Amino acid sequence: MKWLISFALPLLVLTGCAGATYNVAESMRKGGYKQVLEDTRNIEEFPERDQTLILNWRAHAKMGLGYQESARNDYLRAWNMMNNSAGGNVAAAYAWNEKSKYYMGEPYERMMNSYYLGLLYYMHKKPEDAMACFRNALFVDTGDLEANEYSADFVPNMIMRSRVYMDRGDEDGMKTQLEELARLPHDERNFDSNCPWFTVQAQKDANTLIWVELGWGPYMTAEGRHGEVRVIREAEYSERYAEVFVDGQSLGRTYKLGDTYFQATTRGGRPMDEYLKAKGIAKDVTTVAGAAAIGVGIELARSGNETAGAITAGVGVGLLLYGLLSSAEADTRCNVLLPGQIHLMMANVPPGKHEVEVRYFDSNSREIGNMRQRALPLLVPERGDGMLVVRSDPHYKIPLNEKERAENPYAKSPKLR
Amino acid sequence: MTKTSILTLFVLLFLGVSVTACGNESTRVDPKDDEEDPIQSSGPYSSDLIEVTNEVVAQFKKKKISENFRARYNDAPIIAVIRPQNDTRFPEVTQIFQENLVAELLDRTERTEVRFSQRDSDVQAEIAKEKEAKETGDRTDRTGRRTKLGADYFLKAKFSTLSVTDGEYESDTILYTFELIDTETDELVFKGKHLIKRVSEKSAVYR
Repeated sequence: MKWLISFALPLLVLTGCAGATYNVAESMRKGGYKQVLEDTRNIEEFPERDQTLILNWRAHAKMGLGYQESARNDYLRAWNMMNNSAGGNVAAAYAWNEKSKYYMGEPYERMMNSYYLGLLYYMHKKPEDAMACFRNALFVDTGDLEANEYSADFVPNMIMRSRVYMDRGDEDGMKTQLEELARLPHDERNFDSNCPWFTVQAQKDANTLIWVELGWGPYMTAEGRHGEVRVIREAEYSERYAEVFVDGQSLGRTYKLGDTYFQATTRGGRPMDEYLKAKGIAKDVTTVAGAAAIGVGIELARSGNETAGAITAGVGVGLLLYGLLSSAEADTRCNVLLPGQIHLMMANVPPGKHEVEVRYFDSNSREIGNMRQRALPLLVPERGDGMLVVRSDPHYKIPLNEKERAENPYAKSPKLR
Repeated sequence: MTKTSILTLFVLLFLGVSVTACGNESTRVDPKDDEEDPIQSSGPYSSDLIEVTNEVVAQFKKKKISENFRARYNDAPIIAVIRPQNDTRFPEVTQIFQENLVAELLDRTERTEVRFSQRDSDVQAEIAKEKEAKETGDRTDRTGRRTKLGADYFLKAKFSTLSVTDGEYESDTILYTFELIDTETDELVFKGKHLIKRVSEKSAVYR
């Protein structure tokens, strides 16, 4: 019996590593972004395999609370893991549980991380670092082009690249980027092709971008007998578009330019999906074979072949334990704090300080009253763009000034350790 | 030793290794040696920073930029470093490369050979404030009004990349260029370049 425990213990340690460690959705329900910020203060307390995902969540929480500089640092830390690292726990992911591997994100999650990092660099007057991030977002959203695989089709990224080209004074670059945008298939699930800001002139005329994010991004479920089938689900939310007001005057309704569910579901399957299906079958086979071998071993021992019986039963126990303890369940960790849709309002606004109001509407064009955001501060510079990123959350905070933007999120919270 | 003891020892060893593997470690490594770097990126490494800087400084000296200018004007040329252009997919790259190159150029040349004008916007704002304070008498001033340096040349860094992937491998060819532009004629006086290609592999669990 003791040796059975000796075998089982390491297996339990390995498989015990694989569970979810932080329920961000629950924290959001409990206390919103503040709760997430509080819970994730010490990233090192979480298992290494989840830290990159938690860094992304914390970055979203910081952005939602107006701590943009600190959010940028988190996105960058996560960016380095998602783009410069080879991951980790790969063998355990194959042998025991896919969730054992270090999270590095699906292509759409890597793209969104780069996109947000780029937005923050752009807002913080680092357009060249922003350009690199937008380029990386295009790269990770692109498959093997020689094999005629997926090409990048995330429009907000293309618009932001156009803005950097304009900031550089590179009209040819901007034109080339907008031509690439014009070649995208007009698929309403991805973006609204009636958007009036896809021309060079419209880009040159505008000096203000208000990105309005609606709802929640996709989540994943593990389905099938062993949970080996990973299904991407669309989150439910009622907001469908927004209307933007600057200093009390309506600029009109926003245009949808991006959809994270569309991005998540248009990159085909992964090699791991086939592997997990095979592993589910192997799990059944090893469990049955293990049980059978134990039975044979016992019979051998009874008939006087004690050594052969012990070896056969031992192998049986090993197979049985592997069958019972290994998991064919798909990794369903994903960035559920991403928005569902990304909308844009572009305009030419006189330089100076302004107040923005955003109203949200459902599919029946009825305003969702409790979501209205008032007096959001907008600063339009003499040269360059005024830019806001807002979310359909009345508590979403825009920093009032440089000082607020650069504040340490943990400086004023004695409750936090 | 009994079978149980051997197995118990095995379990303890296993747990020991597992715990050790979980610890955070940091080791100081030679920036010139990227082979020791555990990071598996196809992007720029610290060794590139050194290699590119050495290459460009050597090219700059070989072209005798300073000697030619001094022979013509009997004065050291003034170089202003302007906004670099990052067309790679790696953020935070241009600044460190540019800072390193300028520091090396300043270190390896005399002020009588080349002079540099600091054009960073934050420094420019501080200089403007300081000059205003001197004008109003709030701060002391040396005799004679001095003005900001007008550049003879702009030094511009431009980093471009060709990035491709087949899902299994990611390949990045990064071209680092530094160009010196005559501010009177827009003539491209000098262009130093260095090309580095790297390939990294992704495990199938991440595809």
